[in-house]
Amino acid sequence: MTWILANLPLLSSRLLEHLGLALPAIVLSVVLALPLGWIAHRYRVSRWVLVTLTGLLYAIPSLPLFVLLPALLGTGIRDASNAIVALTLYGLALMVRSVADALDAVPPLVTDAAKAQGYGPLALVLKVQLPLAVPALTAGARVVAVSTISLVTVSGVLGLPSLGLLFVDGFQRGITEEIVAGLVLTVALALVLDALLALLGRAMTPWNRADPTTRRRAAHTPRTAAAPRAGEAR
Amino acid sequence: MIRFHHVGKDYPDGTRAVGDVDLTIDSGRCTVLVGSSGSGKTTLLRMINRMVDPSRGRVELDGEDVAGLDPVQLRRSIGYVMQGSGLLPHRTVLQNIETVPLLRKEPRAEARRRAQLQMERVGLDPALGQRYPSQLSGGQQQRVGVARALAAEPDVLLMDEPFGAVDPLVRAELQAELVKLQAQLHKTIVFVTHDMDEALALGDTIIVLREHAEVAQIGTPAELVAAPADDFVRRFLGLQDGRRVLRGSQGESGQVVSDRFGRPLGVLGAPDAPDTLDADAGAQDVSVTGADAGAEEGPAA
Repeated sequence: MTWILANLPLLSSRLLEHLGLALPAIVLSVVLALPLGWIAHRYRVSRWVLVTLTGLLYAIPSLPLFVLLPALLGTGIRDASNAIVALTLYGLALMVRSVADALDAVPPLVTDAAKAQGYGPLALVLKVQLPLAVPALTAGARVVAVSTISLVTVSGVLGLPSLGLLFVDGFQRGITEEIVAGLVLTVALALVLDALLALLGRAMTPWNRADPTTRRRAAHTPRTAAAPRAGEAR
Repeated sequence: MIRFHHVGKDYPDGTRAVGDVDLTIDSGRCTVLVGSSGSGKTTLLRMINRMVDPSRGRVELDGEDVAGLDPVQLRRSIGYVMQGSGLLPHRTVLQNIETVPLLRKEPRAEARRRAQLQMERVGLDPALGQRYPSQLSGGQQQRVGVARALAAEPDVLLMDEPFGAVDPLVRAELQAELVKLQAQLHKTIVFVTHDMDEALALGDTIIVLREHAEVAQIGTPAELVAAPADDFVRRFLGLQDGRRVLRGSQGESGQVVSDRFGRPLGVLGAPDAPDTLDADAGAQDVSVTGADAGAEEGPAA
């Protein structure tokens, strides 16, 4: 405890650095997954290709990817951009499928009715399909957020500053409190972000709160299926 | 006027939905396409607003081939009401009704004004405007569907089994109100149903369709009941099993009309009857009875 109290400024700067890597990756993977997921939803062939290929990204062990990317991108191994790209790829692996599934789940009757009222193709996607997919999209984004927060720690092995660096440093110098602090903060951060996204999803879907049956359905959207184990390195 | 010029529709898998249809639908009247499920009636309806493009032939709207019109613009100019309302679940009632005026780039205030007007027109409490569709009853949802279709003041209204999913009492109520509304608005309504009673209640003209949307008979409700073209139409009307056979007997206040089970339905032309029933119900009852005048004596099946 004394170590933690004495190192509060260090902990808070590690926490911010952690967020600095995780947040851009989470936002990027969600934003990039939207068009990719839409293409996967729209065309049957591309669905197979996109979902399989992006899904395979998740199979690449993270440490080698962190090491390999600089060679491909020309970035330094300790550049934040290097880590952000790697994390975004993992995020995409989860999110593209989520987006495609979320769009698939929009009732065809509603889409058909909207089309018959005179929605153009773009308005149909932006104003009807995406809003209705929000509950399932939120579920996907929550998995991505939690997964990314835990994956960031791996970059600590490379010496990139984040909460992960606390484990590495703690191990090397034998400071148990530092390891525990890093672990607890990582889990806490994941939980907080998960809760915030859940709240955001709720705020964006006032019509679901109005109807108890759809609320239950939204809560059932699969988010445990691909949930990563916290702190696990691939 | 809507004109089908030898229209047909085959799907890529070889299914024939519509064989060869050649018919005209008059403006300002309610035309009911009636047929069993799979008769291609919905396909025919959806060709008018280009939700389906025909494989052969062409559909003309006021003399213009719809194939030459932009489908999105065309759909914004035609009201469409569907079964199960087809409301957008994430939009409030008012937002749903405003949809088409807003898509047509009308100013927000004007769209809101129109939406409120339509809510009143279809008998919806203004307080429901802020609700979501899932918070409404089936009947209310269908009213919103009708209000939405009317909001941009289209000349043509397409209705695809709009009252199919509500209970019979509410359905009768909605039908009566549609008749009342049409008496004010004189839209060109094309109404699809598989329910002959609904067709008789609503249609100025009824088009009975067989498989592949082949026209079995076109006529007014009275014409159909009085002179069904063939056994198919007779069966569809329920004339064969005596469903529409009515009997008259002299009562104190006039002639009492009963159905085939002897259940009294009402009094024929009672002079002091309050005029609450609109032209629809009253006139049709008489025409049905008239058509079956010969059956009055004989017992029903």
